[in-house]
Parts: sequence; C-alpha cells; structure tokens
Amino acid sequence: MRKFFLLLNLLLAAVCLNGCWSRVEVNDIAIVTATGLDVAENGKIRLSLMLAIPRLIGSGSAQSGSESKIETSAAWVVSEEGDTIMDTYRSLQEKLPRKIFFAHSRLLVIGQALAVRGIEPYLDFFERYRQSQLKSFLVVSKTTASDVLNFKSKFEKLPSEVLKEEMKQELIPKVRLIDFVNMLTSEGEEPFTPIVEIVPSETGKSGMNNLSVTGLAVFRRSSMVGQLDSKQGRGAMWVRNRVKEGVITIEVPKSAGAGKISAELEDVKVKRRLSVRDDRLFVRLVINIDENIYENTSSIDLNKSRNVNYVQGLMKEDIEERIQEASRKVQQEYKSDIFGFGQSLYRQDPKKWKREFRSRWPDMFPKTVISVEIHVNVLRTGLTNRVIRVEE
Amino acid sequence: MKTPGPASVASGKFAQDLALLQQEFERCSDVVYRTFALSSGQSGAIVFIEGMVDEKRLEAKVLEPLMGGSARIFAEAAGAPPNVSVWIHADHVKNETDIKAAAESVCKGEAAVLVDGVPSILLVSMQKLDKRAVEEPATEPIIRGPRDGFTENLGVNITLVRRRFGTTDLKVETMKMGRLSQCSLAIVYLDSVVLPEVLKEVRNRLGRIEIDAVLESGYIEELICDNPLSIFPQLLNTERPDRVAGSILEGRVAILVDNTPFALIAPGTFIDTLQATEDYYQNYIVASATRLLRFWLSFSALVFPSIYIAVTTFHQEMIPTSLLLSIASSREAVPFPGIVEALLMEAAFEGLREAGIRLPRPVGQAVSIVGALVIGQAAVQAGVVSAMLVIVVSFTGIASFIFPAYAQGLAIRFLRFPMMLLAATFGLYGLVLGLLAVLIHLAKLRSFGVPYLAPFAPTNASGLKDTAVRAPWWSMVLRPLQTGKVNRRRMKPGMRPGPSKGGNAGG
Repeated sequence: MRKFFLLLNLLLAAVCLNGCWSRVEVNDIAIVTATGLDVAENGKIRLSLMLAIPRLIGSGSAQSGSESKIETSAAWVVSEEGDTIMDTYRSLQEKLPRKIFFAHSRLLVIGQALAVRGIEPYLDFFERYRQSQLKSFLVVSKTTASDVLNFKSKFEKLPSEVLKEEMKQELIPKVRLIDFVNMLTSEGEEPFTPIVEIVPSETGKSGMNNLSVTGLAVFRRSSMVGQLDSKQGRGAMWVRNRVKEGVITIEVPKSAGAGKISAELEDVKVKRRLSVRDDRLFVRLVINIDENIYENTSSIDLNKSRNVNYVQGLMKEDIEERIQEASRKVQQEYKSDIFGFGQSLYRQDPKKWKREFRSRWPDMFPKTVISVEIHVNVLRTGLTNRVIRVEE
Repeated sequence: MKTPGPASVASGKFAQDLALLQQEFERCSDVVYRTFALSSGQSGAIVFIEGMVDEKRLEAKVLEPLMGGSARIFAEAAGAPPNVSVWIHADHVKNETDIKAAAESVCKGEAAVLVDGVPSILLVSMQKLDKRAVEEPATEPIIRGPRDGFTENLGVNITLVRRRFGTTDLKVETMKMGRLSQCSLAIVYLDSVVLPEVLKEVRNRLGRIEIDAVLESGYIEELICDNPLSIFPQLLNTERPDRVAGSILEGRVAILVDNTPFALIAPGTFIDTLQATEDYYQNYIVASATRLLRFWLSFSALVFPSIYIAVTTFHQEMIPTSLLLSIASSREAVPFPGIVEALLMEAAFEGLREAGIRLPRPVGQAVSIVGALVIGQAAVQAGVVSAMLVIVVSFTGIASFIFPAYAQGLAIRFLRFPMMLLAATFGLYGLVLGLLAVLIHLAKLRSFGVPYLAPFAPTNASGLKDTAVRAPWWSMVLRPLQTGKVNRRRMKPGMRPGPSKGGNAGG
C-alpha cells in the first residue's frame, strides 16, 4: 500500500511538473502547405510560405456563408528575404501570431532564377529541420516561386493541393526531395525536376488560371542547365523507366488509310543493356509495352493481325523518335546525365567505374549511343472492331 | 445477546414455549399466533409471519389433520411424546428444540407448530414465494439462444442450471452467508471436470467471509477476488443460465446467491468479458468477425479520445493535411485546450448515461433528446466544443457499450480518463506508457490461480481457438487448458461434418 501511494505521488508530481513540454493546439499553429524559394535582387533569398487559413476551409455549416464562392482561396502567402532559410523563417515567425508549423509542407517550389544559381546550399535546411519532410515534392517554377504560390486555384481551396494532386497522377514525372537528393549525391547521375507554369485553362486564350507541369528541368550538379518540353520530357521518362500511364497517338499515312490511332499504355517495362566498346558506352533499351487501342479514325481494319502489326510498327517508330529527340537534347545540348547511365555503369562494376569512367564520364556521356528495341503488344482493340463509316 | 442458555430450550410445556417464542418476537407485529385445540384436548399453536406463509395450505395440511386426527396420535403414542410430524402433510418438517433457532426459521418463512406435550417445535416449510417469472435477462440480451434468465430466487436459479445437465455429476453445495441476512448461496460445478484447487479455493474464500448481510452477489465478488485493488472484474457475473452451464462445462465454478439474478463464475479471465454466449450459437465465421470487432472497439473505447488529444496537441504532423485543416477549422472557435474540451464532453456523456439509467423510464427519453440537442448541436454552434470532438466522443461512447460483460465496460470507461490525462501531458508517449501500465497490470492479475490474460499470456495454442476468433465446434475438441485440465476431452475428434462417402446419395 505504501508503495502504491509512493508511486501515485511520483506520478502526480510527474504530471504536474512537466508542463506539457511540446504541447500546442491545432488552432495555435499556422499550417504551411507549400514553401517557395526565390532569389532576391540583392542576392539574398526570398522565402515564401503558403499558410492555410482553417477558417476558410471548413465546409462549416454555420460560418461559411458566402465564402464558398469559387474564387475563394484559403491560402495566405507570406514572404520575407534573408540570408538563410532559418533566418528568414524566424523573421517571418516574428510577424505571425501563430506558430509556423512546417511538417505539412509537402511542396517545395523553386524559382527558375534560383534553380539556375544552384539550390544545393538551401537543401540543407530541408534535410536537417525536424519538421520538414523528405517526401515533399520538388518543382521548379518557370517564373518565380511566389507566382506559383499566389495562384488562385479552382478545384482546391489551396493551390498546393492542386500540384500535390497533379503529382499523384502517374502522367507526369514526380520528384520528391529525397529523390532529388539521391540523384544529386549518387555516382553518374544528375537530377531533374518537373517544371510548373501557370497556363491558360483554355488553350490559346488569355486568362492564366491553370497550374500545370509543362516540362522537365535538367540539372547539372544542383544547378539547372536547361529544360525539356513536355514531349521531350516524356522521352526522357521512357529512358528512365518512369512511364506508367500515357497515350500514344500515331498518324497513319495516306497510303495506308489516312487517320490517327490512339492507344493507351498499360504495362511498360524498360530494360537497359550496357556495353562499352572502343571507350564508348552503348546503351540498348529493351522496351516491352502492352497497350489498348481506344481510338481509330483511319480506315485500317484492326481485325486483321497484319494491320495490327503495322500499327505496332508505327508506334515503335513514334516512341523511338521521342527517345532520340530527348537524348539529343540532353546529351548534346545540356550534357547532363539525367538518364542515370553512369549510375547503371557504376552498378555493373563499381570498381571499374571508379578506376576508368568516373573522371571521364562528363566527356563520355554525350558520346553515348542509345539504341532502342521496342516490343509493342496490342492487347485489346476496344469494344468494336469496325470503324464507323457512313455507307455511301 | 439476552438469551440465557436453559430458557431457550423447548420444554414441551405449551404455554411456556409459546411465551418464550412471543418474547423472542417482541415488537414484531407481523407475527401471527394461532392457538387451537386438538380433538384430544391438548392445546396447540401455529406461529408464522404474515405474508411469508401460504395460509390456505397451512390450514388444509396442518391444522385440519391435527385438529381432526389428534386423538389418534395421542392414543397411539400412549405415554411417550407423540410423533406429530407424520400427520402433517408437508414436504419439509423438522423438529427443533432450540427456541431461538425456531424463531429464526420462522423469520425465513416457515411455520412453527407447538403442541402441548410434544417436547420439540415442529417447523413446517410452507413458504409462499412472490417470485418473478423467468424472463429474458435485461443485461445480456441476445438474438439467438435461450431466453431464460436467472431470477431472485435461488431455488429457481439452481433449477435453471440443473435442467441443462442430466447427470449426478453436477454438484450443488449450499451454504448460508451473513450473520443477519442468512442468505443462501450455492456452489455449482461438475465434479469430473472442475479443478480441485479452484473448488477448494472457492470453498475456502467463501468460508472465510463473516459479514452481517449479503444483499447481492457483488458483495461476495468483492470479498473473494484475488486482487481487490484492481479495477478489472476478476469474476464473471452473468444473468444467463446457459452461460453458467457453459462455464461449468469448461471446469469453472459458479456461485449462485439468493436474492440476486447475477451468478458469479470463477475463475474469470479477460477474454471472457469479450465473449458473448451468442458467439457459440451462431455461425463461427460471423461470430469470429463480431469478436474481432469487439476487440477493436474495446481498444478504441479505451484510447480513442486519448489518441485524438495526443495527435492534435503534440503530433500534428501525423494527421493527413486535409484532415488537419478540417480539425483546425472546427477548433477555430473553441477557447479551451483539447484536453479540457474532451474532459467536458466525456463527462457530459457519462452524465447522460448515468442519468439515463437512474431516471424513470418515461423521463429517460427526454435525457437523450436534451443530450443530443445540447451537446450535438448547441455546444458546437456556441463554440464550446469542436464538431470533431463530438464525433470522437460519440464513437467512444458507442464503443464502450460493446462489452458483453458490463463490468468490464465500466473498467474500460473509467480507465479512459487517466489515459486522456496522460495523452494531454505526454502525448503519444504518455499514451503508450499508460497502455503499458494497463497491460502489465493485466498480466499480473490472477483469478483463482488462473492468469487473467490466459490463453494469450501464457500462450496456449489450443486455447487460442476460442479467443479473438471462435473456431468451429468440431475443431474445439479439448476444453480450455487453464480450467479444464482435469478432464480435457470435450468431444470425439474428427467430427467435422461432410457428405457421406457411401455414394448412396443422389442414386
């Protein structure tokens, strides 16, 4: 019994004396949903934080009222200039009534100017800080990061959600902070990230109101050296075996029945075969694709296997062209191994890599010869076999 | 004690004995003294308590034979004290010479018959019982299964159990308990299955009790459990005869107490409180799924509010962003910290529940309406509590009612509060500490020598067949190890049903 009371006293003391050391209520935190980094005129950096305003988010029965209008954004962007991120972050904190809570920032937007200058020094904060998450998505903004953060989105109340949802689709390459750091630090590999841009929602019109991924930023070390457009970006993704979903559209020449055929990719496997001859790296990509044809505006009868073979051939050409186009740009223009060929070589024989290739790799990469071997397998041709034609 | 020794012994002199009895029943206005004259000339008296004796039967079976045939009795006796009891038409008649004991029997509802010249007082058992019919138990209702439940009458209760066994192996030992209440109590067990140690222990612990009155089996439960400081029920209490029968078959001992419909079962383990009798009557897959649900809900009942508090005040990074935002938006108007808010709501919920039980039935409904309106709507709109917390509290409330054993639900419901305080001071760390403390306590508990967490700890593979899942009956060939080790075989093995291999069917 005495032991029991002793224990009870100890427990009471522990409960009363500890002071709930890190307790903070949800309504006392300012939830950061996206972080933006830009370069300021005076060479300092500009940190922008997108804060969520919970009051405007709840589908609240009582208080919402007129705030459910489509234009309402529940985000508030604050920004500040400073020498380091921590420094800026602290001076932002001074101005905010609530405690900045960083753990929900799943999007890191980097302005192009800063990306060109090199982002390595700034990544350190995101690796070190307890609240930051290495699984945040990393994107480069074509203009400044604060432009992207200030964008007023339609679907979501928070612009950060737009990009997060977009990243979750398999259509575009997604790069998390940890992927970027891995690519940056591993042998024979250079990082890339998606480029986001605010574009018109109706192509050809003005009214910039859609946030979209429009290509790939190519880095050498941690500095952005160039960009690939959407099509070239897809090509690069083929080489990296990151294509999960997508549509291929080919044009059928007049001689064969004039029109277009679109197919949806179903199962993509890319294998690399490397060989070094005469001090040159030869990369053979063996691509296996399953696909389903869902649109056919030509007069080709897909009932006949001969015709299917013909279509498959056209698709091979299309994919190969994309790959070659991407590799030309990456190899010749940017000379940055975002394909990770060096890494593959390293994995094959780390010792040999260190002995022979590592130092010469910057010269070797542009000379690497890529050849493509594609096996297309049309699984389904849709519910109907015929093309709708009005009888004449 | 004012009784001098010799005076309390019946003398055989009618007037003297009657006076002694009357002295014993001083100031007891409900005692009836009916004097009469026997046909042989002797005078006699019947003493009983009004309302406890069936007066019509008394008249027909006692008064009539004595008044009519008494001449023969006394003629046959010829000098020696006559044997009056053979003339009385009743099942239980006993001779008592001690006046005090006779008076106590009268208090239990027997009638005392005094006849001049007969040295002992005859005690005739002619109780009139105002008893409730055997109804469906209110605390353990089920869908499929027998609808009979224990009543307040021990005799009826024993019968309800006895009906389920056609064997002399079922032993019923009765004893009296309580200096003033003299409450009867029965220990029921199967002789060939019961663990002798447990039986001995039950007898021992019951024998040790000296108390003035036992009004409910809860008295006994508290006086014989292993660890009186624990909040967990270490004996099972049930209103269901089928549950008692099932437990007896597993080698346990049931204690039935007069005047209460709740039987005690010893030993009781943790898992028993999550098993409903119905589980054994329904399809075993459904029963297992229900049990898993009960496991998960019982855990939620213990920790769900604490998790909410810990996560929202310490570990906001653990909540998905969109959920965090909606929690934040619902908490925006609330002035209290999470723990105060939660304690308020939980206390209100417990209050509603308690009020619902105590209030007379017609008013009871008003409580739930007021509760739903005030707490569900007004409190949220007034910004006293957040909508998210109302969800948490109501889910916890529902979860805390899933226990087939009500007592276990009480324990878990109480433990929820220290858990919430721990979560509010130390976050998930505190919550885990609390859970560990509860687990250690549970592992330490024993009920009549059986570990409380059996068959989980100590683990016993065949015992696990009837825990989180309920295995099909044909696979539960053996009795549970902990209680049934004396006689393990429950049924013939290999009884899994299937179409016969004879090939006759279908022609």
